[in-house]
Amino acid sequence: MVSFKKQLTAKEKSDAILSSIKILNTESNNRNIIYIIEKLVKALLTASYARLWILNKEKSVLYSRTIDELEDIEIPIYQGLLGKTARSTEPFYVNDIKSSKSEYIKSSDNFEENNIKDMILIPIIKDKDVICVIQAMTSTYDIQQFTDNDLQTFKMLIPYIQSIDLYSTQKIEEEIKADNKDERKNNSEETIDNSILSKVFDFFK
Amino acid sequence: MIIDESLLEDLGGISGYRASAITTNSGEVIISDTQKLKTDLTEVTATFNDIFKNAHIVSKSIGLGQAELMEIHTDSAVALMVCSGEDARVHLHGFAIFTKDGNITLAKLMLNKILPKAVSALL
Repeated sequence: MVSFKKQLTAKEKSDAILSSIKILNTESNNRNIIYIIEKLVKALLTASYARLWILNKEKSVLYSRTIDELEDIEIPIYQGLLGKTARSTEPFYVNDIKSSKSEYIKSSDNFEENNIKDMILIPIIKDKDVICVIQAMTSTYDIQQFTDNDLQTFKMLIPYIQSIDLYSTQKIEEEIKADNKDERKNNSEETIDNSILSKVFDFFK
Repeated sequence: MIIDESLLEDLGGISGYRASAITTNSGEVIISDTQKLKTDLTEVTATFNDIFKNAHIVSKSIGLGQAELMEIHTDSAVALMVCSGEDARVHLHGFAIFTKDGNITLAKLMLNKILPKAVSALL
């Protein structure tokens, strides 16, 4: 069943960003931080899917921390639209991706095989280097598609994401993970569902 | 229904009318009227949508600009396809099938009138 998500007003967008920033400022768990950013991106861009990929330059991969609770998923940066974004500095979008003549590669850009229609990709740059890539997608059942307005909207968020130290929070979490992997697994989902995300969801209702 | 199906009623009154639909640019049917058509319109629109999407790509790549309307004449029918605008936030396609002796000129005018109304209904 097709559906249409209306674009947020300027006030709704800034309120959403401010609200999420408040929550993020009290959060130290790397996975939760990324999860909240992804939810915010989905809301701001009226997307059905969003993912934040962190660039590991040494291994030449982008990895996501929110697909699997225990394992990070890695995508090589030399292929697909995700790879193109990791190697560039410009955000861009591709509408009707399956019939476009873009560099889209399903196995890396949509390895979860979601029913996607349009894709927007934004590199987050810090000190002239790409540190992460944010990817958002509409569903086949979404009527709306991305426009230049969505790129402008996203630019509102870039300075804040640049300021988040994804690497150090990750290190902290990995120390905890090494010490008590099983306990973290049990608590992680509960923490996301009950405390932070419910506040975000309530805000966007 | 996110778009009122009565939008298609004006097409139904034109001579030679067989069927019509409004779809997303990816071919998902939003509203349709298939009362005078024996075949499955979902399949028909999906097929014509693919043809129309290819026309979008080709017309752009050879520098002709955006594809706005496409007309296919067969032995017995005329299929019309209209685009609401490729770069807009809402990119819809309008489809209509008429018999060959139908009032195709009026049908095209009506499709071009209906599609902006469908877009406005969403925004």
